[in-house]
Amino acid sequence: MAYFEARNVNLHFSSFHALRDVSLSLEKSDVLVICGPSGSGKSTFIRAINRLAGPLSGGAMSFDGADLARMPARDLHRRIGMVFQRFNLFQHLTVLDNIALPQRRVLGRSKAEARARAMALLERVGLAEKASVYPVQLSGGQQQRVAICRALAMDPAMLLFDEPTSALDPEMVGEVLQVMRELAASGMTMIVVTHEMGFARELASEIAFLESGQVVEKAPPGEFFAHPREERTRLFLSQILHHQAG
Amino acid sequence: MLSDAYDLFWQYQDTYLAGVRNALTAAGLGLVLALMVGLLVGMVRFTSRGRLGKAMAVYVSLVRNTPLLVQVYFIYFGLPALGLTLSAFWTGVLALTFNSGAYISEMVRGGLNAIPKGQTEAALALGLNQRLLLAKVLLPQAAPTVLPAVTGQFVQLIKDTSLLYTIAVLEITKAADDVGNETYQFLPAYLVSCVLYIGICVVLNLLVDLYESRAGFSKHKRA
Ligand SMILES: Nc1ncnc2c1ncn2[C@@H]1O[C@H](COP(=O)(O)OP(=O)(O)OP(=O)(O)O)[C@@H](O)[C@H]1O
Ligand SMILES: [Mg+2]
Repeated sequence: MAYFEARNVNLHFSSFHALRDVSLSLEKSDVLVICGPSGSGKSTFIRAINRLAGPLSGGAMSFDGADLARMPARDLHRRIGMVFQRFNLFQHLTVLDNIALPQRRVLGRSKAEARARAMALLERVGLAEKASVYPVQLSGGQQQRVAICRALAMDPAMLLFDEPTSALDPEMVGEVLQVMRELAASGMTMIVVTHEMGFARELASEIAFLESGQVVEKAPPGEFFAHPREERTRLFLSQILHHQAG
Repeated sequence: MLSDAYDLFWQYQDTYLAGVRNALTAAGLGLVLALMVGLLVGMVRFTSRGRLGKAMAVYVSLVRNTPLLVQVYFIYFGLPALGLTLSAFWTGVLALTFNSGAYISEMVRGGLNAIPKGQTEAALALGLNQRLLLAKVLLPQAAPTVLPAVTGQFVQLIKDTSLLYTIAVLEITKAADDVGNETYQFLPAYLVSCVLYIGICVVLNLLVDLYESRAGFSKHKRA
């Protein structure tokens, strides 16, 4: 059994069938990249892992040998972290407190311990001097790096990223991708929804292409880019690569 | 007439001041209790789509769709029927609490609803439970918008205390009425109560404004 596995996952929003028999898996320390057109169900899939999308209407997901549906919410959220498109930093807390609060309240770490961990992480992403400012005083790229620190501070075993760079100005995309690159190099298991095909080519163990709630194609990056099997994948790739080149 | 009112006030200042004291106390107690009721009901309605949430919704719409005077009578005559006897003053406080609690719950719910969903999602994704989500993430962010409205509710409460006159609580209106009955100078007697209401409410509104500009300032500092 793979480290993370989704088998024939189905999900409905009332009568709308948002995920159709989605089966995806990855091994420990792998990076799974998910791409696909808007509305294809990418967010829904990774939010379903984290119970932010409502219950599955079919299929199952397992993580580290355990059925995700049966895992207590606390364990699940502690072991699987998430980074959002719009960062979602707590607006009323400083950068340091954003990272320290969940550690203290969920993991029960002491204030000193939580702050030390937060500072170490901020150091690592080059934002130590921003520890005492509020999120609105940061650029998008800086906010996203803080959000990654906040998730990392919980010592998750896997991280989910939902288009972590698509709300950023182009000049800030690089700094966030660099942090993710280092994470992947350190062996973090990651599921990343992104259209940064350079990132996917370089780091993905596997790329999945979703459309209308279905996995149209999945393959290692070499194969995915060089020999896409499906016509729809080819079309999508030509559009997105053309767009990113231009 | 103004000078008549002036004379009346000094002549009957004990009565008037007792009225002011009672009105302020009733409104103050009402506010504190209503704040607790409002927070609780607002949070329940924000989180629960179930039976409890529905029950709270019924309470709020009952209060919003009936006159306060009817609510006062209802509690005044209803409590003894349930075997509970409270003084007129505490009956009044209870009525004010019941009434303001519903309005404050709507302010709380509105404040919570106005916070972007991403804040809740991030908190849940980090493993915070509902209680922590509310206490550490949502309420602190709702507070700067909800608190000024709640302070405004205090002004409303002061004016609402006049209805406690109907259950014989000596508040400002009852004081004016007593003075009028004794002197047959009703208009000047009520003029005094008018000035008292205006004085209290203007001062309170100024405090609210001051508070709001302060809150706006600190919000801006953060924002
Ligand atoms: N809470 C919801 N209620 C109803 N429908 C929803 C809900 N969330 C998503 N959907 C629908 O499910 C489909 C998939 O949405 P999803 O957000 O997963 O797409 P996506 O692939 O992430 O798209 P994008 O690239 O625009 O982020 C869309 O048609 C969307 O309208
Ligand atoms: Mg999406």
